[in-house]
Amino acid sequence: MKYDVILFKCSGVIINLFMQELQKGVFISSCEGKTLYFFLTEHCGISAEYITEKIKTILVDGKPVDDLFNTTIKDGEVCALSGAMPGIVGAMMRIGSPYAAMRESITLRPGDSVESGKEINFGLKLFNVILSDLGPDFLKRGILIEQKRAVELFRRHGDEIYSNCSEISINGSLADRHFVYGDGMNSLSGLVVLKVGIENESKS
Amino acid sequence: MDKILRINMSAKGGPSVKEDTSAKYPGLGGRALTTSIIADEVPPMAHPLGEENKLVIAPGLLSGSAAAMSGRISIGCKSPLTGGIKEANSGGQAAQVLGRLGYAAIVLEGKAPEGELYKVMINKDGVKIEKASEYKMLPNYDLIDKIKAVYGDKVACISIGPAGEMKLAAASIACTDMEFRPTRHAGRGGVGAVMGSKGVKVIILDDAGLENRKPANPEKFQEANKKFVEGLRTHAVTGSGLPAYGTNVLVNLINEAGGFPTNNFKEGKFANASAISGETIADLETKRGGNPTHGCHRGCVIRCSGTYNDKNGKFLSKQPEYETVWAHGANCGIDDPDVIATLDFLDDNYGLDTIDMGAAIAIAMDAGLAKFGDGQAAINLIKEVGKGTPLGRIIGSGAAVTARVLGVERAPVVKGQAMPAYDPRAIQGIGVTYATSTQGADHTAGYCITANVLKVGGFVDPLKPEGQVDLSRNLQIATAAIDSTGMCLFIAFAVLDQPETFQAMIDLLNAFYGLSMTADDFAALGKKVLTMERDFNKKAGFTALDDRLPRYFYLEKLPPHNGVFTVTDKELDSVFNW
Repeated sequence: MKYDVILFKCSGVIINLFMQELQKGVFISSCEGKTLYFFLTEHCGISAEYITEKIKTILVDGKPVDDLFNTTIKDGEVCALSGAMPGIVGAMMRIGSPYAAMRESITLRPGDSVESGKEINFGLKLFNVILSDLGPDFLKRGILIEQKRAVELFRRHGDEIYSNCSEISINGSLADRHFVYGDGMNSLSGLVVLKVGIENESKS
Repeated sequence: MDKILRINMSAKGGPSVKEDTSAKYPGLGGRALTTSIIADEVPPMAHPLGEENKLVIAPGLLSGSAAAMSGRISIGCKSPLTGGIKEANSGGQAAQVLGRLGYAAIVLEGKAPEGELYKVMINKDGVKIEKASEYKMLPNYDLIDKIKAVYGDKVACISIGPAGEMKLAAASIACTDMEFRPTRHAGRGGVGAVMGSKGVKVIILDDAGLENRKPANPEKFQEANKKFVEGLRTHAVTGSGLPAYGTNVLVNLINEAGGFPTNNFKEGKFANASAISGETIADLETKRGGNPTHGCHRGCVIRCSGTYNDKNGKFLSKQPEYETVWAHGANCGIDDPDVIATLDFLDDNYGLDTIDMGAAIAIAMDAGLAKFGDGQAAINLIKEVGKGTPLGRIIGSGAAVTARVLGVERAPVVKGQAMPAYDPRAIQGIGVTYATSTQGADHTAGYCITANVLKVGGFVDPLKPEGQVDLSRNLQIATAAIDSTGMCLFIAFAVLDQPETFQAMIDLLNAFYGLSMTADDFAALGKKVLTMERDFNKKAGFTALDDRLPRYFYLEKLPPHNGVFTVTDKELDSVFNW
């Protein structure tokens, strides 16, 4: 197993605690040189229709993207996905905005890139309606974050999480309260996978 | 709605009332009317707090009718903050009630004798003005409690807090919302100080016994209103993004783009932005029994407002707007939503502009009066304003004055007014609008109504880079026109993408007044308003040199993009070439 996996079986009332991690940013395993469109559809599992209809703004390392099909991804970069945003600046940031000239100095221009095939961890942040639409599914499949972020999450919200989880396991073994709060979590290192299974979730 | 109520606060024997027809200003409402009256009747060299200045309060053209989103009220004067012409507008109930009372505008003229304070009551039977010394220095919430005890909570109030009475240059004017709380403010430019200089504490509007204004063509009006509402409800911004998260939904995006001014405009990213994002605050509000989806006036279908409760589930403030969350949050290094909501409440209570207050506190932090991130220190500084201490009066005079007094070079102001929540070094186009707006630095001066729909200055090809100067010009024209209708500016998001929604708005106006206005007429109105405002400012002493950003924006790089503002003076000087 490449990364330690922490699985939470919990009630839906605390899902927003985990959703905050998606606002802050998680890693998705991908391949260097793939296009942004490929990354979103193949590695994030987002449908082409959803991208067209709902994702109105994409930033890579803070730079607005207008061309998903020719922008390629690199190790260490962070991509943020947002729905349509209010305000003139919100409008400027949209993909292919008629106001793109007003943010020209920070627009990401597709450059030459080699598809090396090297495995990379590409950063991903989800905002607003994209977060509420796609967040639960990302959490169900598992998000990759730095171990210290997982420790911090428990430091801030441990009681709330623990009291709303029927089960917490690390790499398939049940973890007790002591492990989660104490040395156990600290013994993990690097990146860890957080998976969140919501109990009593509708099957429909 | 064909009357103008003029109240002369200097009249011998006490304030006098006169009713004019609005015939001199035909077909004008909102900003178009406030600007026309100020440009026509106020000497440009008048002192903003003097007898010659006037405070014009004008609902929109459709206020008081059944038209959706028609509840904005414009308040205009010569600004004590900028020294130029000013229009600040607000939501809340006042516009609708004033419209039903039949007034196109209230004009406060002259000034009351020093130390005298009045309340104005307007209902279907007429206007009554009485001394109101019992209201002296009352904060807005306390004032409204007292008014509620006498007049009930079905009236609407337009009031000032202690900041307005002290005539501080960042004082706002409050309008009560649907819950009769003084949460909606005409915040910018010190309009509250001008109301204070007139000696008017509160205007109480009562529309009991009156009905909605009737359209000239009810069938067409109803049809247009239906299409307009449908357009707003189906659009991604007005139909889902804004109702779910409010304007604060912008925090994450603008922060990610590196244009979220942090620690007094030293950086473009705030490390803990997610703690104060719209997503996080909406979740917190829901958990605490508040409400993240709420209208600020009757007839609002976007409902981008909300209520923010404290840890015990008790009302703390309205849902802070994006600009407030930025000004009191990232710009002061503060990441605690409870502190930001407390500051929002204090601003509303004392009657202060949250943008200029956040900017002034950040400047005070830069000067060493407090540390960035110290929420309690920020609260204490705002309380100083409420108490009227010397330091409080400096901060209450806004960012420009605070920087000058405290010896801070980094004052993010244009024409004396603090910049809002977008750094122009990262987002250059907004800098063009900040620099050249007639209002001082203002994010709403060039909003997002599509140039393509209005065809202002020609069609903009999305695939062809067009100059940001041209876009800023078009947007400023369009915004001036929208502000003149009294429609909430947030309708612009739907109009941006949906030409049929824009047409529905024009149809609403035409059906109501029996007109046949076109998009070209609408654009011409915007140009006319801007031309009047530019002329006024020129006569008040403004030159091209006032249409510039502070020098440090051209010199200091802003991380993470490390850009500076690069739009040339020549380009800025061409914005109003038409």
